[in-house]
Amino acid sequence: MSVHNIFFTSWLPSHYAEALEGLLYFNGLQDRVCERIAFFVELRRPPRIVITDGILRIHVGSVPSVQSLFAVKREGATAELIGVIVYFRESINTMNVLHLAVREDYSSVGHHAEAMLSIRLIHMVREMASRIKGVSSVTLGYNKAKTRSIPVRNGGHNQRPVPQPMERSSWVGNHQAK
Amino acid sequence: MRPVPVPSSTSLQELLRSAIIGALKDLDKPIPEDLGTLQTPLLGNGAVLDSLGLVTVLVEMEQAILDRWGLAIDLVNEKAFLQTDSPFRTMASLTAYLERQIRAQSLARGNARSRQVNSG
Repeated sequence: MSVHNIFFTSWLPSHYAEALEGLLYFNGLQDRVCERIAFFVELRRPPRIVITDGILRIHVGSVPSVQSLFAVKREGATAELIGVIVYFRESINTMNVLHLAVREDYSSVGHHAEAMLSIRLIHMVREMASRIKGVSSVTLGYNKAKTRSIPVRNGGHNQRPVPQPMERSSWVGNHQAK
Repeated sequence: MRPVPVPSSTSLQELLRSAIIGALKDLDKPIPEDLGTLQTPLLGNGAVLDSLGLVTVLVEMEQAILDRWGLAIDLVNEKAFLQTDSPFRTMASLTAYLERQIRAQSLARGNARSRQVNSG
């Protein structure tokens, strides 16, 4: 599996609803807290899939301005949803990851572990956070008692090239959900 | 500012081992008795850590290298993801990757200093 086939998008068309449900609610990794950040789900209610104007969005309880980043594997004319990370800006200097789910075969012990999908998703959020003025850390929850704060380099002044998540107009055209 | 001497593999391995132990403790996971051999898998089948654990280790290593040698390196980057043989696969591959990153960063810092001196 080449990592070149994986792209990231903040936008997902509605026909991926079933795939997203599978990822969020029927994931075989559900009991593994560390592949899904369930701690926050308990505190803030489970993620809810909402379709607006043909676009899938994820809402989490009453948390405002929740952002999602989807990982999609492209193969020919098909594009499969393989992961999602849900996050929001909790305070001026903190980005908080609410939820992380990857398809079983892309987990750290799955067949495609080498794609390092969970790590890439966290990396993407960290890179995006580094572009936002004032944000100095990304917080992940391990369990009820422990959270981990990942420092963001150059908070808001990062000049490194950042892989940009694809936007609505860029990718969906002919791709079919698998 | 001179290039920083590249630390020995042994000291990097030791640093890595304590970062892994820290991550396992954070995640309430048992510490394997044979942890720390060069072939200890960090990714895939038999990996001692899951993804969040590995992220923790990498962040710890970035911080430790900054604290000890004053070098700011990014271990998690697109280049690392695109390598055919992942540098995060085993203790040995990660140690070698750390050495390469430190060497590159150290040289870059030395070169930047030389340019400053020459232009000054």
